[in-house]
Amino acid sequence: MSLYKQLLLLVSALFCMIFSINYVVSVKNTMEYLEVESKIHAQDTATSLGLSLSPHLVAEDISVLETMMNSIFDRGYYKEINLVSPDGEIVVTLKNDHPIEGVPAWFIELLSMETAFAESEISTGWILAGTVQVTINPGVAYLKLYEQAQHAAILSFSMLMLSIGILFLMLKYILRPLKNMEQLSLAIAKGHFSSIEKIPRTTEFKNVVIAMNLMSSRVKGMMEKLNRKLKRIGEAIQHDELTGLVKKNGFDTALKQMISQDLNGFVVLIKIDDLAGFVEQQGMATTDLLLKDFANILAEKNQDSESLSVSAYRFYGGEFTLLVKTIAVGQVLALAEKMQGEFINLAKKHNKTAMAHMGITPFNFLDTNDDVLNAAGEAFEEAKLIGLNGFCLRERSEQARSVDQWHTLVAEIISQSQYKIDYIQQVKALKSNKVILEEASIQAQTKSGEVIPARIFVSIAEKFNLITELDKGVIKTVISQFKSKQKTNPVAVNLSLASVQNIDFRNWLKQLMKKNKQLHQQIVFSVSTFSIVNDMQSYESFVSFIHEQNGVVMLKRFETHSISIEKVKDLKPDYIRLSRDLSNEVYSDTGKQQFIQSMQELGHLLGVAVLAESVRDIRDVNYFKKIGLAGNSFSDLSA
Amino acid sequence: MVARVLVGVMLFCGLNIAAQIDLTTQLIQRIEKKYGVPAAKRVITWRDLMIVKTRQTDREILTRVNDFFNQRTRFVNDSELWNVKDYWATPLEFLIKGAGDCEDYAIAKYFTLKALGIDDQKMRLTYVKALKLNQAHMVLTYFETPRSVPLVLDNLDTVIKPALQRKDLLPVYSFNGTGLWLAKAQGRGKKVGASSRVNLWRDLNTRMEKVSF
Repeated sequence: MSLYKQLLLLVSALFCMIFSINYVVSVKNTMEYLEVESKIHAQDTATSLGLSLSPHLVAEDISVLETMMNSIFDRGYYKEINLVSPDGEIVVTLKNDHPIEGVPAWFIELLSMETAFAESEISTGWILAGTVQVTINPGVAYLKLYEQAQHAAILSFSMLMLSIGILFLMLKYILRPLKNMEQLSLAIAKGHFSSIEKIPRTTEFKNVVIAMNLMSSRVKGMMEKLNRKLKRIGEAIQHDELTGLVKKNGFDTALKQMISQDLNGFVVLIKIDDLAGFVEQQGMATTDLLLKDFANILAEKNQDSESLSVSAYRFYGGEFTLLVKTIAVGQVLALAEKMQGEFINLAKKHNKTAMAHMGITPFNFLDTNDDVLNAAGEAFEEAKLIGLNGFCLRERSEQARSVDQWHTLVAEIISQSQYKIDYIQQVKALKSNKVILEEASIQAQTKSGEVIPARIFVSIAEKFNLITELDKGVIKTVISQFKSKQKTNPVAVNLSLASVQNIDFRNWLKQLMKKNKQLHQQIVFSVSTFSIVNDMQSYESFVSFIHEQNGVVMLKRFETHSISIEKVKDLKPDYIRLSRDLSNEVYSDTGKQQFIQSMQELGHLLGVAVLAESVRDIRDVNYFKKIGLAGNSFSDLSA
Repeated sequence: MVARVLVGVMLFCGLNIAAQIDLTTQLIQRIEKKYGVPAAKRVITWRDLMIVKTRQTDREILTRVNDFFNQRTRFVNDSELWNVKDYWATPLEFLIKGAGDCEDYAIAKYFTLKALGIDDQKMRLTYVKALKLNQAHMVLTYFETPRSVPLVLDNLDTVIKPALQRKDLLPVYSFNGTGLWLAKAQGRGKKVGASSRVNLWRDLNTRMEKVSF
């Protein structure tokens, strides 16, 4: 129950008590007053009637006495008036035995008043001649008391309601800052470090709000500092120091992203001829100048052409690549020719006979990065055969199946659920060595037993909108394995962007999760970071949707450049799994160390567990242990 | 220290039913210190008067009490004595002063007789007109039976006489202390009508309970 309700109830109960007591006291006072008044009335009547009757007692004229008594009695205030002789004989008696009207019997029973009685002696001269006894009719007093009780009840009740109304408004006003404070604390817990602008006037609230604002702003500052640091380190890791070009891991991500998004293009592999010889002849400084000039030629290519999107990368030493987003072979060849000319010029400038060769290869959605780079490498070798500063475009060998054949095959496998689930990448906690999660991986094969590589299977499913069906199938299989106790460890299920975006899929998932509440924490919905960069909004709403269902999400293949840290803060996934590249050779790379450490700090602040993937070296594991990373998987466990 | 005046009924010597007004020694000492020896002596004599050693008839008790007050005190107007127009003194105040007006006599006699066991149903405080003096006056009357002619205990005529022999007095109104006692008990601290007479009686009774000096 909220504080507001508790206070409202408590104070209302107190009000109720006070008003009730006040009401009872008021009615009781009225009752006592009426009793006393009746007594006085009785005494006054007895005295005055006694004085009036006294002259007529001498004559002992009963009829006059009775008439006089009647004239008083008939006013209706009296229940009984008696004239009693000194010997105690009743001379005249007048009685009114009418029941009390207008007052309910329960009221008379509840508040019984003493019937007022008084007497007065009558003397004739020195001698006592009799006594007048007067009993007041209690009906009048009861009626008065009843009316008073009714009025007081209405008044008390109205006042009570009014008081509670005022209390209601006052409490709302006084406790409003508390509501704001509650919201702020919840926001802070969620990682939104805002502050309360309107400082409340109540001293305690004021102090708490000021303290909360201060705390929030400090943590916010800390977060921002951490963010800046992460960004800086991330960029340092991503970019080559000398040329400013993006390094190989950036190329890998970009290519993977293009392939996963079914974007076609070309990769141009460029290697400077005999760089080692040049270093020997000209020294490091001149070589650096050459590399810079060379990199500039590549970097300018993106600006050169408006219609062509070209990104340049430096791999190692004199090895560079260009990622060209186009499907037109002519455009790529024109680009290569242009570069060829520029290479010749550069070669002259640096007194070099041959500058570089270029191997060009196209890629499509069925490729992997390795396939593409291998093909580019082969083209490069051919280019070297062509001559100085030569280039070669190598068309890809045809696939075993046509796209249509793939489509039919994959659709059949998915509709008939002819795939198996393997569990790979077992992530263990670094502290306790307990299994944090395993990843569900699809193993598909044709009827003849031919294994279809998972990436091709998934790519075809994505291209032909079969992926959501596949994702559902995998989830169902995993759930059934949990139910049959084949699985006990939490399982990460990979979801495609299409499923993340799909509302029907969410509804389906909602129903499923409702039915399987015990598995909410057992299934981890995992999404590759590079796949969501183009639709962060859908992913963000998906994460909150899963969290609403009390589920768990993981952002895998996390890299320094794929997503901003600010975004991570908003998304707040339960797990972040670093990419293989970030997870390896950390012990020797201070840049990676700084980045991972900062990520870990950020994760700690936001309540996100940071994991590493496919770690090969025990020294990296030791480093992760040292900085308190949640867990990692080993390379030898991966499929 | 508040001294107590206990008006109680107790068995005395296994024979008499007597009433006693208990005046403590401390109270008497304080009276002596504050008002002098004569005042204290009057109070002691009054206390002794109320200690009954043998059974006496009502008439004997009436005479003793009537004589005690008529002989040991003198008549002084309220305005002279208390600086107010009308003041009903308690028996103790009356004795300490050694003086009072007709009401003070009647009241002191009433309470003393009551303490000595006289049934207060037989006593009335009666307003009369003193015909010779042509002024309002109060006497204590004693009725042997409800129908009998009362005896008059007066400070003007110090001898107790049947009322019919008191041609100098014209009876006006009489009241019984018991009723007013009741009224007092119920109405103390509350509104009890506007009668100044009743107020005077009430004040008197209140003072008798407190006995504050």
